[in-house]
Amino acid sequence: MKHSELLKLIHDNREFIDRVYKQNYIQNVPQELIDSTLFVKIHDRYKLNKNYLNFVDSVLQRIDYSIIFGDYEKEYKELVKNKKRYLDSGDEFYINRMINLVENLYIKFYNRDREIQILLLRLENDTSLEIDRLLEQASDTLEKIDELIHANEKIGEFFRKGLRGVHAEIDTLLQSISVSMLNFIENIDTYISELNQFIIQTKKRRILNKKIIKLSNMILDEQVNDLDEHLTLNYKSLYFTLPRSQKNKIQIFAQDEDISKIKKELIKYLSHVEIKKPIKKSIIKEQKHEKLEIVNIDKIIKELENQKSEDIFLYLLSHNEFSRYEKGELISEAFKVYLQIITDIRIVFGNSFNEYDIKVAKWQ
Amino acid sequence: MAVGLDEAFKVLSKGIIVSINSQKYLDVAKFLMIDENFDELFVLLKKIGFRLNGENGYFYIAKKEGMNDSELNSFLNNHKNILISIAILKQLFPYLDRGTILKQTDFIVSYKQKEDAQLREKFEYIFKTKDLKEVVEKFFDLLEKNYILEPKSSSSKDDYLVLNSIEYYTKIVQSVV
Repeated sequence: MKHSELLKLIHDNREFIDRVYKQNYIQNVPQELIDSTLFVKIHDRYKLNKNYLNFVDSVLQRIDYSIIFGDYEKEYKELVKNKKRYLDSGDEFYINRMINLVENLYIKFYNRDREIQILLLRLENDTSLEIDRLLEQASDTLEKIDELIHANEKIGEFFRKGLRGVHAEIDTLLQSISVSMLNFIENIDTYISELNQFIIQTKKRRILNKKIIKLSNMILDEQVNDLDEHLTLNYKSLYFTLPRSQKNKIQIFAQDEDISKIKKELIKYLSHVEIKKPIKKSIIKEQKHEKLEIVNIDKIIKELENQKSEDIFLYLLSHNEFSRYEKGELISEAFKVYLQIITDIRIVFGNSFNEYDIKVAKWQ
Repeated sequence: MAVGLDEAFKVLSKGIIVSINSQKYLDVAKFLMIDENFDELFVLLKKIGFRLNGENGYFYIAKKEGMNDSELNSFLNNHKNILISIAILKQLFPYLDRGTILKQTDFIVSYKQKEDAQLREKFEYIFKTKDLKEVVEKFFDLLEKNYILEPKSSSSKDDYLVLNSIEYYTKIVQSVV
Protein backbone atom coordinates (compact mmCIF):
# COMPACT_ATOMS: atom_id res chain seq x y z
CA MET A 1 0.00 0.00 0.00
CA LYS A 2 1.24 3.47 -0.86
CA HIS A 3 1.36 6.24 1.75
CA SER A 4 -1.25 8.25 -0.17
CA GLU A 5 -3.53 5.18 -0.22
CA LEU A 6 -3.14 4.75 3.53
CA LEU A 7 -4.06 8.42 4.05
CA LYS A 8 -7.15 7.95 1.87
CA LEU A 9 -8.14 4.81 3.77
CA ILE A 10 -7.90 6.68 7.09
CA HIS A 11 -9.81 9.62 5.64
CA ASP A 12 -12.59 7.43 4.25
CA ASN A 13 -12.98 5.66 7.58
CA ARG A 14 -12.32 8.66 9.82
CA GLU A 15 -15.63 8.51 11.71
CA PHE A 16 -15.32 4.80 12.40
CA ILE A 17 -11.67 5.12 13.51
CA ASP A 18 -12.54 8.12 15.71
CA ARG A 19 -15.32 6.14 17.38
CA VAL A 20 -12.96 3.27 18.20
CA TYR A 21 -10.31 5.75 19.38
CA LYS A 22 -12.84 7.11 21.88
CA GLN A 23 -14.34 3.82 23.02
CA ASN A 24 -11.08 1.85 23.00
CA TYR A 25 -12.33 -1.33 21.26
CA ILE A 26 -14.97 -2.67 18.87
CA GLN A 27 -16.43 -6.03 17.89
CA ASN A 28 -16.51 -5.73 14.07
CA VAL A 29 -14.09 -3.97 11.72
CA PRO A 30 -14.17 -3.65 7.89
CA GLN A 31 -11.74 -6.09 6.28
CA GLU A 32 -9.65 -3.39 4.52
CA LEU A 33 -8.85 -1.79 7.91
CA ILE A 34 -7.79 -5.17 9.33
CA ASP A 35 -5.60 -5.79 6.26
CA SER A 36 -3.95 -2.40 6.72
CA THR A 37 -2.93 -3.49 10.27
CA LEU A 38 -4.55 -0.35 11.67
CA PHE A 39 -6.61 -2.74 13.79
CA VAL A 40 -5.39 -5.72 15.77
CA LYS A 41 -7.62 -8.49 17.10
CA ILE A 42 -7.21 -9.25 20.82
CA HIS A 43 -9.48 -11.97 22.24
CA ASP A 44 -12.80 -11.45 20.54
CA ARG A 45 -12.54 -7.73 19.86
CA TYR A 46 -10.49 -5.29 17.82
CA LYS A 47 -8.29 -2.50 19.10
CA LEU A 48 -6.43 0.23 17.25
CA ASN A 49 -2.80 -0.64 16.60
CA LYS A 50 -0.57 0.71 19.39
CA ASN A 51 1.80 2.22 16.79
CA TYR A 52 -1.05 4.28 15.37
CA LEU A 53 -2.17 5.30 18.88
CA ASN A 54 1.37 6.33 19.83
CA PHE A 55 1.58 8.56 16.77
CA VAL A 56 -1.88 10.09 17.30
CA ASP A 57 -1.39 10.64 21.04
CA SER A 58 1.97 12.26 20.42
CA VAL A 59 0.58 14.64 17.78
CA LEU A 60 -2.50 15.41 19.91
CA GLN A 61 -0.36 15.80 23.01
CA ARG A 62 -2.15 13.07 24.92
CA ILE A 63 0.41 11.26 26.96
CA ASP A 64 -0.57 8.44 29.22
CA TYR A 65 1.01 8.06 32.67
CA SER A 66 2.05 4.54 31.70
CA ILE A 67 4.43 5.82 29.00
CA ILE A 68 7.83 4.10 29.02
CA PHE A 69 10.68 6.39 28.02
CA GLY A 70 13.33 3.72 27.57
CA ASP A 71 16.95 4.49 26.75
CA TYR A 72 18.93 4.93 23.54
CA GLU A 73 21.13 1.85 23.89
CA LYS A 74 20.16 0.19 20.58
CA GLU A 75 20.91 3.31 18.51
CA TYR A 76 24.10 3.92 20.50
CA LYS A 77 25.41 0.39 19.88
CA GLU A 78 24.55 0.66 16.16
CA LEU A 79 26.38 3.98 15.94
CA VAL A 80 29.51 2.58 17.61
CA LYS A 81 29.42 -0.45 15.30
CA ASN A 82 28.98 1.64 12.13
CA LYS A 83 31.68 4.08 13.16
CA LYS A 84 34.16 1.21 13.62
CA ARG A 85 33.21 -0.31 10.25
CA TYR A 86 33.62 3.05 8.50
CA LEU A 87 37.00 3.68 10.10
CA ASP A 88 38.10 0.16 9.15
CA SER A 89 36.77 0.19 5.57
CA GLY A 90 36.35 3.87 4.64
CA ASP A 91 33.08 2.86 2.97
CA GLU A 92 30.73 5.90 2.58
CA PHE A 93 27.75 3.53 3.00
CA TYR A 94 28.28 3.66 6.77
CA ILE A 95 28.14 7.46 6.79
CA ASN A 96 24.52 7.43 5.63
CA ARG A 97 23.69 4.78 8.25
CA MET A 98 25.27 6.94 10.96
CA ILE A 99 23.46 10.10 9.75
CA ASN A 100 20.14 8.24 9.90
CA LEU A 101 20.89 6.98 13.41
CA VAL A 102 21.88 10.47 14.63
CA GLU A 103 18.69 11.91 13.14
CA ASN A 104 16.60 9.16 14.77
CA LEU A 105 18.23 9.86 18.11
CA TYR A 106 17.58 13.58 17.70
CA ILE A 107 13.88 12.91 16.97
CA LYS A 108 13.74 10.63 20.03
CA PHE A 109 15.21 13.39 22.20
CA TYR A 110 12.78 15.91 20.70
CA ASN A 111 9.75 13.66 21.30
CA ARG A 112 10.88 12.72 24.79
CA ASP A 113 11.27 16.36 25.77
CA ARG A 114 7.80 17.12 24.47
CA GLU A 115 6.29 14.06 26.13
CA ILE A 116 7.75 15.01 29.51
CA GLN A 117 6.43 18.56 29.19
CA ILE A 118 2.93 17.25 28.38
CA LEU A 119 3.10 14.70 31.19
CA LEU A 120 4.02 17.39 33.73
CA LEU A 121 1.22 19.60 32.48
CA ARG A 122 -1.21 16.72 32.76
CA LEU A 123 -0.09 15.91 36.31
CA GLU A 124 -0.42 19.54 37.35
CA ASN A 125 -3.95 19.80 35.96
CA ASP A 126 -5.29 16.37 36.73
CA THR A 127 -8.24 16.54 39.09
CA SER A 128 -9.77 13.22 38.13
CA LEU A 129 -7.50 11.05 40.26
CA GLU A 130 -7.54 10.69 44.02
CA ILE A 131 -4.64 12.64 45.51
CA ASP A 132 -2.86 9.46 46.65
CA ARG A 133 -3.04 7.98 43.12
CA LEU A 134 -1.78 11.25 41.62
CA LEU A 135 1.18 11.24 43.98
CA GLU A 136 1.97 7.67 42.91
CA GLN A 137 1.90 8.71 39.25
CA ALA A 138 4.09 11.73 39.97
CA SER A 139 6.66 9.62 41.84
CA ASP A 140 6.71 7.04 39.02
CA THR A 141 7.22 9.80 36.45
CA LEU A 142 10.02 11.26 38.53
CA GLU A 143 11.71 7.86 38.60
CA LYS A 144 11.38 7.52 34.82
CA ILE A 145 12.83 10.99 34.18
CA ASP A 146 15.62 10.32 36.67
CA GLU A 147 16.61 7.25 34.68
CA LEU A 148 16.94 9.40 31.57
CA ILE A 149 19.73 11.55 33.03
CA HIS A 150 22.43 8.96 32.51
CA ALA A 151 21.14 7.86 29.09
CA ASN A 152 20.95 11.49 27.88
CA GLU A 153 24.40 12.37 29.08
CA LYS A 154 25.89 9.27 27.48
CA ILE A 155 24.51 10.24 24.05
CA GLY A 156 25.42 13.91 24.55
CA GLU A 157 29.01 12.95 25.34
CA PHE A 158 29.16 10.61 22.33
CA PHE A 159 27.86 13.36 20.02
CA ARG A 160 30.36 15.89 21.41
CA LYS A 161 33.43 13.67 21.42
CA GLY A 162 32.90 10.11 20.12
CA LEU A 163 31.47 11.05 16.71
CA ARG A 164 33.30 14.30 16.04
CA GLY A 165 35.95 14.24 13.30
CA VAL A 166 34.71 10.97 11.79
CA HIS A 167 33.29 12.66 8.68
CA ALA A 168 32.59 16.28 7.67
CA GLU A 169 28.93 15.56 6.87
CA ILE A 170 28.36 14.07 10.34
CA ASP A 171 30.17 17.02 11.94
CA THR A 172 27.86 19.49 10.14
CA LEU A 173 24.79 17.60 11.32
CA LEU A 174 26.07 17.37 14.91
CA GLN A 175 26.89 21.09 14.86
CA SER A 176 23.41 22.04 13.69
CA ILE A 177 21.64 20.02 16.41
CA SER A 178 24.13 20.67 19.22
CA VAL A 179 22.28 23.61 20.84
CA SER A 180 18.91 21.83 20.84
CA MET A 181 20.50 18.63 22.15
CA LEU A 182 22.11 20.57 24.98
CA ASN A 183 18.73 22.12 25.81
CA PHE A 184 17.01 18.73 25.85
CA ILE A 185 19.66 17.40 28.25
CA GLU A 186 19.55 20.46 30.51
CA ASN A 187 15.74 20.52 30.52
CA ILE A 188 15.74 17.24 32.44
CA ASP A 189 17.06 19.00 35.56
CA THR A 190 14.31 21.62 35.28
CA TYR A 191 11.65 18.93 34.88
CA ILE A 192 12.93 17.04 37.92
CA SER A 193 12.90 20.18 40.02
CA GLU A 194 9.37 21.07 38.80
CA LEU A 195 8.15 17.58 39.55
CA ASN A 196 9.70 17.59 43.02
CA GLN A 197 8.01 20.91 43.69
CA PHE A 198 4.70 19.52 42.45
CA ILE A 199 5.01 16.45 44.70
CA ILE A 200 5.73 18.64 47.74
CA GLN A 201 2.74 20.91 46.97
CA THR A 202 0.43 17.95 46.41
CA LYS A 203 1.53 16.33 49.66
CA LYS A 204 0.84 19.62 51.45
CA ARG A 205 -2.59 19.73 49.82
CA ARG A 206 -3.27 16.16 50.96
CA ILE A 207 -2.29 17.02 54.54
CA LEU A 208 -4.43 20.17 54.50
CA ASN A 209 -7.45 18.30 53.14
CA LYS A 210 -7.10 15.68 55.88
CA LYS A 211 -6.88 18.43 58.48
CA ILE A 212 -10.01 20.15 57.13
CA ILE A 213 -11.97 16.91 57.23
CA LYS A 214 -10.62 16.15 60.71
CA LEU A 215 -11.62 19.59 62.05
CA SER A 216 -15.09 19.33 60.54
CA ASN A 217 -15.55 15.92 62.19
CA MET A 218 -14.39 17.43 65.49
CA ILE A 219 -17.05 20.14 65.13
CA LEU A 220 -19.70 17.49 64.45
CA ASP A 221 -18.55 15.57 67.53
CA GLU A 222 -18.65 18.81 69.52
CA GLN A 223 -14.94 18.63 70.27
CA VAL A 224 -14.65 22.34 69.68
CA ASN A 225 -12.58 23.55 72.62
CA ASP A 226 -9.42 24.12 70.58
CA LEU A 227 -11.29 25.84 67.76
CA ASP A 228 -13.33 28.04 70.13
CA GLU A 229 -10.18 28.93 72.04
CA HIS A 230 -8.30 29.84 68.86
CA LEU A 231 -11.15 31.96 67.51
CA THR A 232 -11.81 33.66 70.84
CA LEU A 233 -8.17 34.41 71.53
CA ASN A 234 -7.47 35.70 68.04
CA TYR A 235 -10.69 37.58 67.40
CA LYS A 236 -8.74 40.83 67.02
CA SER A 237 -7.25 39.64 63.76
CA LEU A 238 -10.18 37.53 62.56
CA TYR A 239 -13.00 38.37 60.24
CA PHE A 240 -15.76 39.98 62.26
CA THR A 241 -19.12 38.47 61.48
CA LEU A 242 -22.60 39.35 62.56
CA PRO A 243 -25.79 37.43 61.89
CA ARG A 244 -27.85 38.43 58.85
CA SER A 245 -30.69 39.65 61.07
CA GLN A 246 -28.53 42.65 61.93
CA LYS A 247 -28.60 43.70 58.30
CA ASN A 248 -25.07 42.59 57.70
CA LYS A 249 -23.60 45.81 59.05
CA ILE A 250 -20.63 46.19 61.31
CA GLN A 251 -21.70 47.93 64.48
CA ILE A 252 -20.79 48.21 68.13
CA PHE A 253 -23.43 47.54 70.79
CA ALA A 254 -23.80 50.01 73.62
CA GLN A 255 -22.80 48.85 77.08
CA ASP A 256 -25.60 48.33 79.65
CA GLU A 257 -24.47 51.28 81.80
CA ASP A 258 -24.59 53.60 78.75
CA ILE A 259 -28.13 52.49 77.98
CA SER A 260 -29.34 53.17 81.54
CA LYS A 261 -27.65 56.62 81.45
CA ILE A 262 -29.48 57.47 78.21
CA LYS A 263 -32.72 56.13 79.64
CA LYS A 264 -32.43 58.37 82.71
CA GLU A 265 -31.69 61.42 80.57
CA LEU A 266 -34.59 60.70 78.26
CA ILE A 267 -37.03 60.29 81.17
CA LYS A 268 -35.78 63.63 82.56
CA TYR A 269 -36.44 65.48 79.29
CA LEU A 270 -39.56 63.72 78.19
CA SER A 271 -41.40 63.90 81.53
CA HIS A 272 -42.47 67.54 80.68
CA VAL A 273 -43.77 66.67 77.30
CA GLU A 274 -47.49 66.17 76.96
CA ILE A 275 -48.39 63.58 74.47
CA LYS A 276 -51.86 63.37 73.04
CA LYS A 277 -52.97 59.90 72.40
CA PRO A 278 -53.45 59.51 68.69
CA ILE A 279 -56.94 58.56 67.63
CA LYS A 280 -56.81 55.26 65.98
CA LYS A 281 -58.42 55.20 62.59
CA SER A 282 -58.23 51.72 61.41
CA ILE A 283 -58.94 51.05 57.82
CA ILE A 284 -60.24 47.67 57.10
CA LYS A 285 -58.68 46.40 53.95
CA GLU A 286 -60.53 44.11 51.71
CA GLN A 287 -58.97 40.70 51.73
CA LYS A 288 -57.34 39.87 48.44
CA HIS A 289 -56.95 36.46 46.99
CA GLU A 290 -53.27 35.97 46.20
CA LYS A 291 -52.32 33.44 43.65
CA LEU A 292 -49.12 31.69 44.66
CA GLU A 293 -46.71 31.25 41.81
CA ILE A 294 -45.25 27.91 42.59
CA VAL A 295 -43.88 25.52 40.01
CA ASN A 296 -45.31 22.06 40.48
CA ILE A 297 -42.16 19.92 40.54
CA ASP A 298 -44.01 16.69 41.29
CA LYS A 299 -46.11 17.20 38.18
CA ILE A 300 -42.99 17.81 36.06
CA ILE A 301 -41.28 14.72 37.49
CA LYS A 302 -44.34 12.59 36.68
CA GLU A 303 -44.28 13.85 33.11
CA LEU A 304 -40.55 13.23 32.87
CA GLU A 305 -41.08 9.65 34.00
CA ASN A 306 -43.28 9.14 30.96
CA GLN A 307 -41.63 11.37 28.38
CA LYS A 308 -37.96 10.74 29.33
CA SER A 309 -36.49 13.97 27.97
CA GLU A 310 -32.95 13.89 26.51
CA ASP A 311 -32.09 17.25 28.12
CA ILE A 312 -34.05 18.07 31.24
CA PHE A 313 -33.04 21.74 31.33
CA LEU A 314 -34.27 22.37 27.77
CA TYR A 315 -37.42 20.43 28.61
CA LEU A 316 -38.07 22.72 31.58
CA LEU A 317 -37.53 25.87 29.50
CA SER A 318 -40.33 24.88 27.18
CA HIS A 319 -42.61 23.50 29.90
CA ASN A 320 -45.93 25.33 30.44
CA GLU A 321 -45.22 25.60 34.19
CA PHE A 322 -42.64 28.23 33.23
CA SER A 323 -44.70 30.02 30.59
CA ARG A 324 -45.37 32.99 32.90
CA TYR A 325 -41.65 33.88 33.20
CA GLU A 326 -39.79 36.38 31.03
CA LYS A 327 -36.58 35.14 29.39
CA GLY A 328 -34.03 36.19 32.05
CA GLU A 329 -36.19 35.00 34.92
CA LEU A 330 -37.15 31.88 32.99
CA ILE A 331 -33.55 30.58 32.83
CA SER A 332 -32.94 31.32 36.48
CA GLU A 333 -36.22 29.71 37.67
CA ALA A 334 -35.79 26.71 35.37
CA PHE A 335 -32.25 26.23 36.67
CA LYS A 336 -33.47 26.20 40.27
CA VAL A 337 -36.00 23.48 39.46
CA TYR A 338 -33.39 21.65 37.33
CA LEU A 339 -31.04 21.54 40.36
CA GLN A 340 -33.79 19.97 42.44
CA ILE A 341 -34.76 17.42 39.82
CA ILE A 342 -31.21 16.22 39.16
CA THR A 343 -30.82 15.18 42.77
CA ASP A 344 -33.14 12.28 41.91
CA ILE A 345 -31.28 8.96 41.67
CA ARG A 346 -32.94 8.16 38.34
CA ILE A 347 -31.10 11.00 36.60
CA VAL A 348 -28.26 10.17 34.23
CA PHE A 349 -25.69 12.81 33.35
CA GLY A 350 -24.09 13.15 29.94
CA ASN A 351 -20.60 14.52 29.38
CA SER A 352 -21.80 17.43 27.25
CA PHE A 353 -23.24 20.84 28.06
CA ASN A 354 -26.14 22.48 26.30
CA GLU A 355 -26.25 25.96 24.75
CA TYR A 356 -26.88 27.45 28.23
CA ASP A 357 -23.62 25.85 29.43
CA ILE A 358 -25.60 23.53 31.69
CA LYS A 359 -24.76 19.85 32.02
CA VAL A 360 -27.05 17.65 29.95
CA ALA A 361 -29.07 15.42 32.26
CA LYS A 362 -31.75 12.97 31.23
CA TRP A 363 -34.27 10.71 32.88
CA GLN A 364 -33.12 7.09 33.04
CA MET B 1 -17.22 55.29 39.50
CA ALA B 2 -13.71 55.46 40.92
CA VAL B 3 -13.35 53.78 44.28
CA GLY B 4 -12.24 55.96 47.18
CA LEU B 5 -11.86 55.44 50.89
CA ASP B 6 -15.58 55.92 51.44
CA GLU B 7 -16.56 53.23 48.93
CA ALA B 8 -13.94 50.80 50.27
CA PHE B 9 -15.19 51.41 53.81
CA LYS B 10 -18.80 51.00 52.72
CA VAL B 11 -18.05 47.57 51.27
CA LEU B 12 -15.80 46.32 54.07
CA SER B 13 -18.11 47.60 56.80
CA LYS B 14 -20.82 45.31 55.48
CA GLY B 15 -18.65 42.43 56.67
CA ILE B 16 -17.48 41.56 53.17
CA ILE B 17 -14.20 39.74 52.62
CA VAL B 18 -12.84 41.35 49.47
CA SER B 19 -10.83 38.87 47.41
CA ILE B 20 -8.58 40.15 44.66
CA ASN B 21 -9.90 37.47 42.28
CA SER B 22 -13.47 38.65 42.82
CA GLN B 23 -15.11 40.24 39.79
CA LYS B 24 -17.78 41.84 41.94
CA TYR B 25 -15.37 43.73 44.21
CA LEU B 26 -12.48 44.02 41.77
CA ASP B 27 -12.40 47.83 42.00
CA VAL B 28 -12.30 47.82 45.79
CA ALA B 29 -9.59 45.16 45.76
CA LYS B 30 -7.52 47.15 43.28
CA PHE B 31 -7.91 50.25 45.44
CA LEU B 32 -6.81 48.42 48.59
CA MET B 33 -3.85 46.83 46.85
CA ILE B 34 -2.24 50.26 46.69
CA ASP B 35 -0.21 50.56 49.89
CA GLU B 36 -1.05 54.23 50.51
CA ASN B 37 -4.79 53.55 50.29
CA PHE B 38 -4.54 50.52 52.53
CA ASP B 39 -2.51 52.43 55.13
CA GLU B 40 -4.90 55.39 55.10
CA LEU B 41 -7.96 53.20 55.64
CA PHE B 42 -6.06 51.16 58.24
CA VAL B 43 -5.44 54.32 60.32
CA LEU B 44 -9.05 55.50 59.95
CA LEU B 45 -10.51 52.15 60.95
CA LYS B 46 -8.13 51.86 63.88
CA LYS B 47 -9.54 55.13 65.24
CA ILE B 48 -13.05 53.69 65.35
CA GLY B 49 -12.10 50.35 66.84
CA PHE B 50 -11.55 48.11 63.83
CA ARG B 51 -8.53 46.56 62.23
CA LEU B 52 -8.09 46.30 58.47
CA ASN B 53 -6.46 43.03 57.44
CA GLY B 54 -4.92 42.44 54.05
CA GLU B 55 -3.24 39.14 53.43
CA ASN B 56 -2.80 36.43 50.80
CA GLY B 57 -5.05 38.12 48.28
CA TYR B 58 -8.01 39.21 50.40
CA PHE B 59 -9.06 42.06 52.71
CA TYR B 60 -11.43 42.14 55.67
CA ILE B 61 -12.21 44.02 58.85
CA ALA B 62 -11.65 42.65 62.35
CA LYS B 63 -13.04 44.15 65.53
CA LYS B 64 -10.51 45.25 68.12
CA GLU B 65 -12.92 45.37 71.02
CA GLY B 66 -14.17 42.29 72.79
CA MET B 67 -17.46 40.87 71.60
CA ASN B 68 -20.58 40.53 73.66
CA ASP B 69 -22.14 37.09 74.09
CA SER B 70 -24.46 37.21 71.11
CA GLU B 71 -21.71 38.50 68.82
CA LEU B 72 -19.31 35.83 70.03
CA ASN B 73 -21.89 33.13 69.57
CA SER B 74 -22.64 34.26 66.04
CA PHE B 75 -18.93 34.62 65.29
CA LEU B 76 -18.16 31.05 66.43
CA ASN B 77 -21.18 29.44 64.75
CA ASN B 78 -20.59 31.19 61.47
CA HIS B 79 -16.97 30.05 61.38
CA LYS B 80 -17.99 26.48 62.20
CA ASN B 81 -20.61 26.38 59.46
CA ILE B 82 -18.16 27.67 56.87
CA LEU B 83 -15.41 25.30 58.00
CA ILE B 84 -17.82 22.37 57.60
CA SER B 85 -18.93 23.68 54.20
CA ILE B 86 -15.31 23.84 53.04
CA ALA B 87 -14.79 20.29 54.34
CA ILE B 88 -17.77 19.18 52.19
CA LEU B 89 -16.23 20.88 49.16
CA LYS B 90 -12.83 19.32 49.83
CA GLN B 91 -14.34 15.89 50.34
CA LEU B 92 -16.05 16.11 46.95
CA PHE B 93 -13.33 18.06 45.12
CA PRO B 94 -9.92 17.39 46.72
CA TYR B 95 -8.16 19.75 44.29
CA LEU B 96 -10.51 22.66 44.85
CA ASP B 97 -8.59 25.81 45.63
CA ARG B 98 -8.69 29.56 45.08
CA GLY B 99 -9.48 30.23 41.43
CA THR B 100 -11.20 26.89 40.81
CA ILE B 101 -14.42 27.02 38.79
CA LEU B 102 -17.06 24.93 40.50
CA LYS B 103 -20.28 23.88 38.79
CA GLN B 104 -23.40 23.28 40.86
CA THR B 105 -24.27 20.35 38.62
CA ASP B 106 -20.82 18.78 39.14
CA PHE B 107 -21.37 19.22 42.85
CA ILE B 108 -24.61 17.21 42.66
CA VAL B 109 -23.07 14.56 40.39
CA SER B 110 -20.09 14.18 42.71
CA TYR B 111 -22.27 14.12 45.81
CA LYS B 112 -24.44 11.38 44.36
CA GLN B 113 -21.33 9.36 43.46
CA LYS B 114 -19.57 9.74 46.81
CA GLU B 115 -22.53 10.15 49.11
CA ASP B 116 -21.67 8.78 52.52
CA ALA B 117 -22.84 9.14 56.10
CA GLN B 118 -20.19 11.77 56.88
CA LEU B 119 -21.36 14.07 54.09
CA ARG B 120 -24.99 13.73 55.12
CA GLU B 121 -24.05 14.46 58.73
CA LYS B 122 -22.24 17.63 57.71
CA PHE B 123 -25.22 18.91 55.75
CA GLU B 124 -27.47 18.13 58.68
CA TYR B 125 -25.21 20.10 61.04
CA ILE B 126 -25.48 23.24 58.90
CA PHE B 127 -29.00 23.02 57.51
CA LYS B 128 -30.75 20.65 59.94
CA THR B 129 -31.74 18.45 57.00
CA LYS B 130 -29.98 15.78 54.92
CA ASP B 131 -32.21 16.14 51.89
CA LEU B 132 -29.97 17.01 48.95
CA LYS B 133 -32.91 18.58 47.13
CA GLU B 134 -33.27 21.12 49.90
CA VAL B 135 -29.64 21.83 50.65
CA VAL B 136 -27.84 22.41 47.35
CA GLU B 137 -29.24 25.86 46.73
CA LYS B 138 -28.84 26.80 50.39
CA PHE B 139 -25.28 25.48 50.41
CA PHE B 140 -24.17 27.60 47.46
CA ASP B 141 -26.09 30.53 48.87
CA LEU B 142 -24.29 30.20 52.21
CA LEU B 143 -20.88 30.11 50.56
CA GLU B 144 -21.78 33.02 48.30
CA LYS B 145 -23.02 35.13 51.20
CA ASN B 146 -19.81 34.39 53.07
CA TYR B 147 -17.66 35.39 50.10
CA ILE B 148 -16.10 31.96 49.47
CA LEU B 149 -17.88 31.51 46.14
CA GLU B 150 -18.97 34.05 43.56
CA PRO B 151 -21.14 33.40 40.48
CA LYS B 152 -18.74 33.33 37.54
CA SER B 153 -20.96 35.32 35.22
CA SER B 154 -24.56 36.31 34.88
CA SER B 155 -24.87 34.29 31.66
CA SER B 156 -24.11 30.94 33.30
CA LYS B 157 -26.19 30.00 36.32
CA ASP B 158 -24.05 26.96 36.98
CA ASP B 159 -20.49 28.25 37.38
CA TYR B 160 -19.01 29.57 40.61
CA LEU B 161 -15.52 30.92 41.18
CA VAL B 162 -13.68 29.94 44.38
CA LEU B 163 -12.44 33.18 45.91
CA ASN B 164 -9.07 33.76 47.58
CA SER B 165 -10.82 34.14 50.91
CA ILE B 166 -11.05 30.34 51.19
CA GLU B 167 -7.50 30.58 52.48
CA TYR B 168 -8.70 32.60 55.48
CA TYR B 169 -10.46 29.45 56.69
CA THR B 170 -7.72 27.00 55.74
CA LYS B 171 -5.34 29.13 57.80
CA ILE B 172 -7.60 28.64 60.81
CA VAL B 173 -7.53 24.88 60.15
CA GLN B 174 -3.71 24.93 60.05
CA SER B 175 -3.64 26.75 63.40
CA VAL B 176 -6.08 24.46 65.18
CA VAL B 177 -5.39 20.92 63.89
